[in-house]
Amino acid sequence: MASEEESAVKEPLDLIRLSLDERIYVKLRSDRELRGKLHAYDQHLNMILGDVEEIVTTVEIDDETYEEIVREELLLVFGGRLEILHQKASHILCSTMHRHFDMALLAFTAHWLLSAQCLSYSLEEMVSYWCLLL
Amino acid sequence: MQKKKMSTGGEKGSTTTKTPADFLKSIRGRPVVVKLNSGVDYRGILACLDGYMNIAMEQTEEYVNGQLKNKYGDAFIRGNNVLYISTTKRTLADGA
Repeated sequence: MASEEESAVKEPLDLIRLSLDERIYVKLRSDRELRGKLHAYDQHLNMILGDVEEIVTTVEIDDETYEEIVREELLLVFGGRLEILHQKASHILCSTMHRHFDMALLAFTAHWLLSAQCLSYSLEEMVSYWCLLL
Repeated sequence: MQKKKMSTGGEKGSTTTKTPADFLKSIRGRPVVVKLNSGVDYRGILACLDGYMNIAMEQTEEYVNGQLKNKYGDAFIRGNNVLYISTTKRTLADGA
């Protein structure tokens, strides 16, 4: 993008950086919500969240009474343990994941991130870390 | 910095021709309505935005079907979801 950058102007992405290491609420499509600790993000809004909950809201119409039954389903709570993270990473993050990222890569880097307690890295830095390991 | 000016057919009330980029620059700090493709409305004070239409807002209120559903202190909206951004003469119930 041709950026006519006046240095005083901040980008919205800059403001997200202020939320690193804090618990955030993310609203996704298909009536899904996430609450978790923001460990990393990138310009695509790919995100690594820890201690995350996913809430899916479904509304059913009762056939007789036409009453709306709102069900909020808590799909996952995990505390950053590796195996759960690996299994569930694709589930938690696929709805926000840019196509270029491989799920295994993401699970690995997320594990690295959490175990190394490196909480302020962007996904680009994590990808370079991964490339170093190859 | 070269900007192409949109040509206007006739002289209207405004004295200067504006590009959409000019509009985006001029509305920072103002109360706005952001409508998403999904139809959900967000009203708040525009903190900043970028060329992707990513939006950061303060004192955000979420309206679904015209009903106030949620209030957020700070909100970031990913630009691909944005249908439009509009300024509004909003009187804030709670002072800014």
